[in-house]
Amino acid sequence: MKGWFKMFFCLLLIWCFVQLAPIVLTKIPAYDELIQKSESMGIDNAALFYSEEALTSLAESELNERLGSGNE
Amino acid sequence: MLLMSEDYWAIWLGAFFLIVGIVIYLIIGKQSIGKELIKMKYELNYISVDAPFKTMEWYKINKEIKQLTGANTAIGKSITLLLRKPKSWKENPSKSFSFEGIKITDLDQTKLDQLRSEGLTLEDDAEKKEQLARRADFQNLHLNTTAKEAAGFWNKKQIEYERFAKKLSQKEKKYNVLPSLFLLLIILALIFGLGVFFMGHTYLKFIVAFIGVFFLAVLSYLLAAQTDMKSLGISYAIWAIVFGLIISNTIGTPTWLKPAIQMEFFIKTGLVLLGAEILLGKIMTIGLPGIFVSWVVTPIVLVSTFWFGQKILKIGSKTLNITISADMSVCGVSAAIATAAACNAKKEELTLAVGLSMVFTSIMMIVMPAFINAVGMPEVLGGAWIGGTIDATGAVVAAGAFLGDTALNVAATIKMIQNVLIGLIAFGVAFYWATKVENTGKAKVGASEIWHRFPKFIIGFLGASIVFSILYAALSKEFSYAFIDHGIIRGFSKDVRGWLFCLAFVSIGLSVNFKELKGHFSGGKPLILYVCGQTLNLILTLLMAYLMFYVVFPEITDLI
Repeated sequence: MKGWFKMFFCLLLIWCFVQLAPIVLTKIPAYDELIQKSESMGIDNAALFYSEEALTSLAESELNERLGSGNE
Repeated sequence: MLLMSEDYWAIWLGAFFLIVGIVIYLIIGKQSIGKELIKMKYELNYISVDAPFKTMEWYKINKEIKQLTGANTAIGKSITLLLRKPKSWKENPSKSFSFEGIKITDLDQTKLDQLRSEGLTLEDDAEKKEQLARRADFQNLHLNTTAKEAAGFWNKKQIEYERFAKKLSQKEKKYNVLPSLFLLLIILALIFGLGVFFMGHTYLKFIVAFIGVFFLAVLSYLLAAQTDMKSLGISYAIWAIVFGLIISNTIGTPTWLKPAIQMEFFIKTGLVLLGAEILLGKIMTIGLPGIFVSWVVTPIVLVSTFWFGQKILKIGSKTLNITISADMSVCGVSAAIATAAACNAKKEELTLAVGLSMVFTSIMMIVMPAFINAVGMPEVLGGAWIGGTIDATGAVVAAGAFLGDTALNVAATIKMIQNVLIGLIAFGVAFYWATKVENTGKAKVGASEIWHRFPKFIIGFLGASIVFSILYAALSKEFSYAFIDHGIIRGFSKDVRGWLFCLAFVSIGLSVNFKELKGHFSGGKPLILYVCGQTLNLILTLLMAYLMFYVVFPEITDLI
């Protein structure tokens, strides 16, 4: 019973974190601007590896084009 | 032996998934769109000869080429559906699994119309300027420059419009991910059950337990898909560990769940798949500046941090030290997983390394771009600094985007080049551990003893990297992009690998004890190690980026 109570308490803490963290963090202008930008560009801020984020592919091809393999 | 060992099973299963990927994307996918891709490529080459700059036609055909990918073929789309994770949600978690779609608001529609109208105006302008340049047979430099700029502006607006339209269409789209999640559960349970059976466990007990572990993995993906958590950069890895930890340290891990707690089996198989994503050719993207920033600074920071941990901080566990050093200097969670598996680190040590990486990634993602803006650092330098120091790719791209398009391109590319280093680091660590660390006696160890100690899955990991790097280089640029990068890798292996890592992290959480975890954190040494290592990383990366992009190769910076 004690274990279940502890588990419930931990889940409650997670719920509080999920609810409160964004409220607190959006008060930081830099954070707010960053998430707005990420949302508008469809960036997955939680991507762990280059293949998990679509923009890495665009960044790579854009740099490749600018640095010589384009038709200029 | 080859059917009893976890390392070999990881190689067999990893190879199985990759062969399936090759058949689906490189053979079937190529048959369905290969000819069209070649036709488009010729058209693009023809246009490139015709005009000395990227014309509107060039942008249109290039866009069509980019859409002809393995993941966009019929079979590729089916695979994408099968590997779907819980979708993004804000307040109602049920929307993550099933959603009827919503009508787009008037505000969104107005914005879409505005973007379309701006695009049309720019298109009209670009067409006129291109006509003028064409009439002069592209011999007038001024007209060429004006036409080139106008086409570029139009293309940029088109991308913005398409991005927004895609976002809106996703809002309207109906979905139900539950059937595909159920199918994936069955497939993974059957495949991994086979491996577990040959390794001496009961097949049926594994299947039952796997349902529980898979459920926790889905729950982790669900929390990671919450929009605010996603913005913070809190990924499935940390949620998987947290849920596992909560269960194991409160009610205790149920006995029936234990047969599926196969942390190393999932990690090693995932790492063989990760090998396919490590394409060695990608290190050449920005040329020498990229290689210096990513491949020279990173090993220096890794070795210095490890030395600092051993000699100054005197961290008791070498495996904890190298796991934190690698995850801080290379690329966070993925590097931590690869290094921990290579040196056989304890699960508590990997948990600690992942936790530290996540916390600092979230902080650095916000602080670094704000600082770079405040001091007025140039975008190329800022981007290179961010790419070389922030651990996870998503956070790197978000921080880069905050500074601007150029910073985003440089940051994302530097991080991608650094990602490729994982293979070498894992191999180096495995070799060092087999020859030095585990060699307690003074006698020189023979090749057979080194082979005996060497983690065999590393062979699969490096083998996948070498095979896919060769394939990538052997195919034409367009084919590599369509069938490997946007077929096997981004359409298939990275999703399977993500599920396997998630299952591994759930398993880690379910078998870690808070008291043991606390013991590894004694005196806050891991935190000190991370902070000191990251400080050195920040200084050296900034210095190297400045030297490479502004002193040694300024001509490259001018082109970027």
